Amino acid sequence: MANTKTGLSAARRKLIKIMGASGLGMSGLGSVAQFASAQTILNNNVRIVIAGSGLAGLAAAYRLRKQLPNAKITIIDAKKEHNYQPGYTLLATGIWNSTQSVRDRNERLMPQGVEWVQEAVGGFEPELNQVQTVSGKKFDYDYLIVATGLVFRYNEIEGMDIFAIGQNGVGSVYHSPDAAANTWKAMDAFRQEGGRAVMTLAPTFMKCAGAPLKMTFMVADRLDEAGVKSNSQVDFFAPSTSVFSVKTVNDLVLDRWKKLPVSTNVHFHRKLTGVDITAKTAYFTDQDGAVHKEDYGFLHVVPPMYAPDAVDQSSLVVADGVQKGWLDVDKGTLQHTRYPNVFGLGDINGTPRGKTAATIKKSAPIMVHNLLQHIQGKPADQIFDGYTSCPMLVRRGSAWLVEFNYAGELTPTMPLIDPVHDSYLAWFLEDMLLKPAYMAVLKGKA
Amino acid sequence: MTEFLLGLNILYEWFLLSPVLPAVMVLLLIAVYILALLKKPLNWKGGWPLSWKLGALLAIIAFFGVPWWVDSSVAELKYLPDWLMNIAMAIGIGAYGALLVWPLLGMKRKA
Repeated sequence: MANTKTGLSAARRKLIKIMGASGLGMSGLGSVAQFASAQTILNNNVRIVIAGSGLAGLAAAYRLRKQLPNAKITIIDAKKEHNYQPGYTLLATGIWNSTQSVRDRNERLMPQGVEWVQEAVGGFEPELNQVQTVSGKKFDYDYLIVATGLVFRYNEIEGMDIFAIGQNGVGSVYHSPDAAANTWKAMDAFRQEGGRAVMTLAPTFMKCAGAPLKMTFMVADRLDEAGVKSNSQVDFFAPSTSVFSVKTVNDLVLDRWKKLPVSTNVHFHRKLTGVDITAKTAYFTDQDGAVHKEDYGFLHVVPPMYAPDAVDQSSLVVADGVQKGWLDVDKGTLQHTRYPNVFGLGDINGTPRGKTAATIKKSAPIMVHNLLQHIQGKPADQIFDGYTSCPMLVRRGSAWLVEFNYAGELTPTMPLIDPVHDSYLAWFLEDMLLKPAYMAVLKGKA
Repeated sequence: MTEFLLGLNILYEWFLLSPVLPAVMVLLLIAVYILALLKKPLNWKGGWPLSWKLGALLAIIAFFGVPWWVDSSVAELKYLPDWLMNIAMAIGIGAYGALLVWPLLGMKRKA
């Protein structure tokens, strides 16, 4: 089945079988010669294409480079800058003050021996085992890892202009390092006088779904800090009936917001559909299609998020249901449900729960292991439980270290840690150690 | 073991991201001990009482200073893990300070 799909030649299948028989993680020394021979041949013939050079793509590349040292690994992505995205909320709330803290170069981060095609992916032809770039170059693969991430569609919010982020009270943490830094400028200007902060959520699946909640906690804290809480209020607008997909966290956040020093209200069934930046007015559409006008002093825009067109328009995506338009992978093995030589990693996966950098920490080793199993003709036998972590900033100096899985269970990994307890330790981790941890994950060391 | 290795890797990456401070600290320590060995004989015993007192003082400063340095405060130490981490960091910084001044004080208090 797998080989039919991958279209491998008979000779290559034979070699892969030899490889499988000898075992990548073999312990028997008797077949060293055969193993070395098969490994060399296999590695020289196996072509792995990784679509995407974000954390997921690079983490997979480092691990594969180590475990298949002679395989031809190609990363396709036009992005030259690598951004440490977990730092965006720290920039957007004035904790970090330089965008340099979140900027790096992909050129510097690429693993040695990996070919980097500096073009955007234009399309996937999984039936042909082929990826095409936007300029029309075609790359054949034996195995494909889709790690493209997702795209923001600010243009679905009528009147929204990404170049206005930072002006007229408009903020948005997601777009870029500059947008995050400009969001802090807008928030800082807003808190000088106080007023009404309007916070939003995307009506789609989201990356780092905790970020809008962190922004809400922090805007309230910054208003309180500036001494303008008496003439300020925060209003959070959610398209559905919750603000976070993990019920325990959702309930705790809502409870905590009731107790914030600045009056904070939540409005459900309100989707941000328009904004008049000059008039400082946001427009929300409810479940009946009625439009509600809301004036603001500060607006945090969370854009709708989708799979990039190249993925969305391919046969790789889920055709129906809640995961429609996202990569159709098994949520446990991260292997594509119809093309077994295709695996997915990160935001693009049509799996439950939002993803963060911590998702990659746990899922990248599992996905790479399962890919190696598949190369050897063995079934994918490691199961990802959906682990994700979200250090939830609750005010300057304190955070929750929320960790959870697909089932929505809280899964703290550090001893003694209560995941929803206000904690200096969680703050310290977010501020000081998360970036080194991110780099360790990226380089396949964690 | 995996988590221990992860911890080491995180420390290593932290060093790569901000190499100046840890590098200066390590080099300073090495330089002080080389200097001390060249200046022997030293009164190690005589230098120790003041060294550990200075280290303890540094630890107290670090206990309050580290939270401030990371945009937090001692008032945010809300439960046991917070206290344990901050105390551990303060002890580590204090111990470094004591080890740094120990040979210097030993040099000054030659037997």
